[in-house]
Amino acid sequence: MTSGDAVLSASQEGVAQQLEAFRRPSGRTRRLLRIARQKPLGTISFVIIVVLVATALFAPLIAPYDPTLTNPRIKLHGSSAAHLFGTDNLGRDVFSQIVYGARTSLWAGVTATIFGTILGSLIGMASGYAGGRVDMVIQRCMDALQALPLIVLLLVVVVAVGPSLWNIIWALSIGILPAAGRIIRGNALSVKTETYIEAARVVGCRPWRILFRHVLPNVMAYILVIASVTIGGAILAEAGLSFLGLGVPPPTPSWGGMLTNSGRRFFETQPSLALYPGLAITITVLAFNLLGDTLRDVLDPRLRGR
Amino acid sequence: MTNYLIRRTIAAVIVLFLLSIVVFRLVHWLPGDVLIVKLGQGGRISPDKLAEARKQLGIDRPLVVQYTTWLGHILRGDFGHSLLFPDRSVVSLYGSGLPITLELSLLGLIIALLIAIPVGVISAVQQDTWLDYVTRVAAILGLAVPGFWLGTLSLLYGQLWFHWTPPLRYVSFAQNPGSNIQTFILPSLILGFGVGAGLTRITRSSVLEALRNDYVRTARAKGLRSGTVIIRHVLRNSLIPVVTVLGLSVATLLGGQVILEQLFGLPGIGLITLNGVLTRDYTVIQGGALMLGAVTIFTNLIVDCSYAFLDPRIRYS
Repeated sequence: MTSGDAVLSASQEGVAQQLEAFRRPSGRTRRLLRIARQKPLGTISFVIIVVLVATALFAPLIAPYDPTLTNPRIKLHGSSAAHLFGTDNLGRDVFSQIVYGARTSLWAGVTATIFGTILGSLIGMASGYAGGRVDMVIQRCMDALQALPLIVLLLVVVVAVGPSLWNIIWALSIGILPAAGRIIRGNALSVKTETYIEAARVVGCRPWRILFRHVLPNVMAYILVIASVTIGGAILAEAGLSFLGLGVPPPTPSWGGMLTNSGRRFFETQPSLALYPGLAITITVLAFNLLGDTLRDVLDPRLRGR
Repeated sequence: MTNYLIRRTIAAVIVLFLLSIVVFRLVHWLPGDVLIVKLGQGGRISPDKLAEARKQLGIDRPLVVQYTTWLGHILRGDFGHSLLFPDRSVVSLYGSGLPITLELSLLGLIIALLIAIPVGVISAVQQDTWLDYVTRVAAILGLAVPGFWLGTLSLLYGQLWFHWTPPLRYVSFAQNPGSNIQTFILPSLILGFGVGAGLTRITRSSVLEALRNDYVRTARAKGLRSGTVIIRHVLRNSLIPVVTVLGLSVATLLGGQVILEQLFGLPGIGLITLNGVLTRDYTVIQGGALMLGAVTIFTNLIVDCSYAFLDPRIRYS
């Protein structure tokens, strides 16, 4: 081979290598795809959640009718081409109600979980790291809050400040707070004994900086797992409250509200009315629970491997 | 160890005290008061008569005074009388609801355990087989299904397919066992499945943990059959977390059946609390919340102390 050929083949190889790098996915993407393949349930649930979020976000585009539009002439019809899931006792399209109900449930569930988990985690982290008297006092207060049965707490708050979506979210957050706080506090306690925390302290880091820069990243994995399972519980709680009539006020569509007791005689005429909302709730909560499970499986060995 | 027990008990008392403040504050947040509900929107009572009635009931005094009076009564065991039904004391109201909720919770728990322990053990022993997967999905499904939906569906299809509805009025087991069972069977089954789903998962994971231990390997090496190993060694150790969770969920079970009770018309503790909240019956809500909270705190205390007996490491923390 002449030197010219060598140079040519070398540069060809270089170009070929660069092209290869474009085609082969990067390390991180490949890892994600591998995880996705290994955990089919988790992947399915992730897809379901994406679909749900999209439904909630694009509800006006997906729902064929205004869910609050009553039309008594077509009440209690079964599935038809015009009304995929039929109509309810006031002639409202059930499919549209389900679609818009996704908004209510997801909004309530996700927001309440975010608030409750963040607040609870902050308190738990600070309490666990501070230790001593402060820790004890904060923990006792959380215990008191947690000793109250959740339903009672929700009932009182919702009835006290009125049943609106935001009030329900606040009430749920207060209910979620103590549980998240307790778990994160446990984590913070174990992280506190790590050498790098001691090192940071020796160097002169302020406590808050230690908390956010060192404790938080280690605790983050647990927060994510708790959060995703809590969303499921929050959605169930919102549905339960709406079922009791203490949830979002009508006419806002809500899956739980579609199942209220007062509608029972209509269910006898049109059983599908009772099926769809419940299915929607079940599938949603199932997806979030499975996601939480998968997250825990994925994140746990990585935590242990550190 | 007594040191730990004493500290734990003092902590529990403090929490109880804090709880009473929380409950009181929360309840008095409710707008409107019981008089408005009692007299209804229709009644036109002059403001002085209203004020007079308020003074009689004692709900016009400043909150702190009301709180201390209430606390004083509580400490003497007097939870006061329902504001809506002045002839019923709070204790007697809840007392009449207790057997119902108790029966529901007990039946539900039994069903849950009957499902959870065998299924959890089998699922763990046959890990990663199709049986395991089916069980895990079923358990997660059980946690995701809303109880009121199952209840509604069961009542609906019971009516449609079998022309059967549970008896409307509650009768105690002593009075009429047949009617009693019919009233409770549906809600207990639903409750049992829900609780059982969670318990199955816990049983499964704790049995898995126990199976990883060396003593299992030793027992098998000794020649013991798998079944004997499981029953004699694994089960005892893996049941500890299950019992813990059971103990901790006692209070949730008692106080949290509002939805099922409302759906099936069972006048239990949950329904009494719900009605109390809806009618702004302060004493009822306060008394109920405090009692339920006290039960929670007490059961947590017992569980923690029993842990100290079982696990020496905890005593010295």
